[in-house]
Amino acid sequence: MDRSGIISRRLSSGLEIVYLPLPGLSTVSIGLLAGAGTRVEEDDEIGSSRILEHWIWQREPKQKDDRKILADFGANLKTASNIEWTRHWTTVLCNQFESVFELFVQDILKFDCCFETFSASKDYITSLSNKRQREPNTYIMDALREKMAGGQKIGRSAAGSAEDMIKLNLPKVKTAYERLYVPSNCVVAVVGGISAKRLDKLLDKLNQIGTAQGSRKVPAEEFSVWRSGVYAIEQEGKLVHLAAGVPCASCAHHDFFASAVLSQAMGGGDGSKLFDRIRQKKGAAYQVRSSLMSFRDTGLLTFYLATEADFVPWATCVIIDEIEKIKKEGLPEEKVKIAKNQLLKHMVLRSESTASRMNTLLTALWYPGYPGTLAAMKEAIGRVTSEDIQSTLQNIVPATEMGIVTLGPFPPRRWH
Amino acid sequence: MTYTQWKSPSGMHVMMEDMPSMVSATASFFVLGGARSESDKQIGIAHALEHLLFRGSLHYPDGAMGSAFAQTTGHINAFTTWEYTCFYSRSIPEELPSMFSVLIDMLRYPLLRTKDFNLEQAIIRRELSRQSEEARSRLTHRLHQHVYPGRLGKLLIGSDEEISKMNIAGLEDFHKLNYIPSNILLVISGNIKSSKTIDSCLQMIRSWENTRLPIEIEPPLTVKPQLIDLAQAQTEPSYAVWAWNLSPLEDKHHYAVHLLCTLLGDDNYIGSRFYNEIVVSGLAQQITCVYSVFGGKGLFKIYGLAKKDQLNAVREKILNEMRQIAAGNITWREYNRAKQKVKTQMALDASSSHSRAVSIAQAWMRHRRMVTLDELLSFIDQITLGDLRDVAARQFDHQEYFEIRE
Repeated sequence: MDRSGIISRRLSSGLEIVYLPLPGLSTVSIGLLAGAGTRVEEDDEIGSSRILEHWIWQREPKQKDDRKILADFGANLKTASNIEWTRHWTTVLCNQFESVFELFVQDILKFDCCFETFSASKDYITSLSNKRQREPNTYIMDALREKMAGGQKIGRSAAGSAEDMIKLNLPKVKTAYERLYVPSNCVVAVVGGISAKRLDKLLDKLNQIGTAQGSRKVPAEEFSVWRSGVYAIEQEGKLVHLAAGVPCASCAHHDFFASAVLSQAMGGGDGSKLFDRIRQKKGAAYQVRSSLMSFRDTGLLTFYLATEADFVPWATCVIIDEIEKIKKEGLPEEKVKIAKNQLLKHMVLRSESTASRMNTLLTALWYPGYPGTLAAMKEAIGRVTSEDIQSTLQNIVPATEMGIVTLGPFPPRRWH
Repeated sequence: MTYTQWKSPSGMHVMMEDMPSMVSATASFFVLGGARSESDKQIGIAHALEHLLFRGSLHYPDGAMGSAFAQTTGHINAFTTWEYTCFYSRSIPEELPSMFSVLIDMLRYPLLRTKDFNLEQAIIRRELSRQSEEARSRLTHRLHQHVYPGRLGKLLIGSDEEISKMNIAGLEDFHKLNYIPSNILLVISGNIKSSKTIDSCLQMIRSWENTRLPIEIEPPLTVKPQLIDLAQAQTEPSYAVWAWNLSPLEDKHHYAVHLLCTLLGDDNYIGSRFYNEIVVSGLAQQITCVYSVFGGKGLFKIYGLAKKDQLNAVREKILNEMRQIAAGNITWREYNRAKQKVKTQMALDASSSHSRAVSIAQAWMRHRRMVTLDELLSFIDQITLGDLRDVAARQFDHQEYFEIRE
């Protein structure tokens, strides 16, 4: 990763910490990414990472005593997960930094696997997994990946399934914690208005956080895993949710940013091809978007919209048609320039948030080759050409390599 | 940070906050004609107009979503609330004037063409279908239906039938009445000192004259609390909302209710009263408090997510905690924790030019003047534990509440 302006330090425990000072800001964001996700879980551990994401913060017996918790410092705690990692992060006023940093890292890496709160956490995460199945726009993307993965680990849901969760017990989840939440399988990033000297002084004190053990848990490579197919999940409702995906570059691949520009040009909002044809000119959908699902060794370029059943075949043809056009004719330079500019715009505007910059740093730490700073990203996007975009599509034949899933009042027979 | 506020000759309130550490500048026009300004025959029009304004204006006939704007670093967006409709741009400071001129043109000279309206009508219908798939959105609407017998009790974007009944003439009328300088609040925030042409932006609004006088909106009607079990859906887990009508509050108590909201159940992961007493034990999966104010009248809402057969126990637990709070049982630790959380949240709101603009406008709605971040922080700082106990005793020492379940 590009390291300009970034200070890096590895503690004796193996925990890597990077820091980007932004003088003048009143807040600081602290994040920890653990290589814990369904893709690196054993078959009898599926869902453990998702339970841990929540369970780690359940310390009820301790809240009654005098020991301070993050909330006492006003810390704003967030978590997120995908199939390859779990992130925990907090943003806090700079004057609370030292106390919060120490608590935050120790709470995660020295979790005592609290017996009293395990069942409630498991129930909660299981119910969220059920709830996710009722949120069509997220559920359909899980379904698309699962169908296209054809039973391989990369198709597992990041949220876990209720069926798998029920089989889990405390010893199993504890085993997953002890394997995945070791310092060498985690990275920490700090971005905000504190000086490097302040952080260094603190790290000197905390140099022994955790114990040096294990190594990074990288998922086994599953190149060319994606399978094409058309699937219809029927359910009642007015709208049919449509998700489609084609194979694309991994996070660290040299074509990653060409895929990102392509995704922007296809369905990145105002002025993009699908937004223009499906929403603006036809009025057939409220939301139309494309996005990248990128992992360590592979990825998917996905498309999503929600419309009425009668528009589904037409909208599918529009997606295929636009891919074919770009594949054959390339994207005009002007369109490439616009898409690149829009991507840069999002990055520049997003950089106002310390949490967003901290999360970019975590991604760069976890996926070698991914640019970690704004300048490095600008450079990577700036290098993308129309030829690069065309070449990312050259091996894809949408009609045979695309996965399509519908969710809603659209019977499977209508695909024929 | 430096602040400026003034009123244009035509009556537009203008507030500016320079935030030198920001990379962006935001210009936000808050048209004080939200969904609550609509008559019975205009339901959904404020939101439809917001959509249609993006389709084209006199000097930008292709609209703000056209390819001409794709090359700028900024973007223009909008959202409609009950109290106002906000149109804003966010860009690097150098592009502020060009974004500003598009915004002004959209607001002053929209083309409001029938063919665009027909397309947007179809899009809004699909937006409505999406909303009706979201449990929390359905629950809030059902609560409003029962709390507010007037406009607030109907859907903000209108029902399918109401959307179908809209027409261009109705939109034109609403535009003429509401999109006038004296009914608009302009907030410019972010790194604006470096924008040398900020004067040219302000020049654009000086020539904008009022065509009609702004309208006054009646305070919302409210009804007596009741319990409504809508439990038709057999979904697990189930949602419920419990709500208390609050009497109009002076500033100190208004901010005390905000603090109480955080103390009881903010959306942070950890540390609130309901989280410790109800969520950690596994009785409910989520409990979140929301305090909203319409026309000076407050509504305190508690959203819960739990297994259907545990909802009664959750309600009893919530009511017990509300009684405890009303009896003054609030600890120093909870009080200090809530204060720290609110201060952190305010700092987070001030860490983006757009979120700061929304905070400035919301404070203006209450105080009718610019309220600085330091002033907001001091409002919170001045609230004592006694104030918190006082407002809790006054507002929650009774059993009258709404309950809606799904």
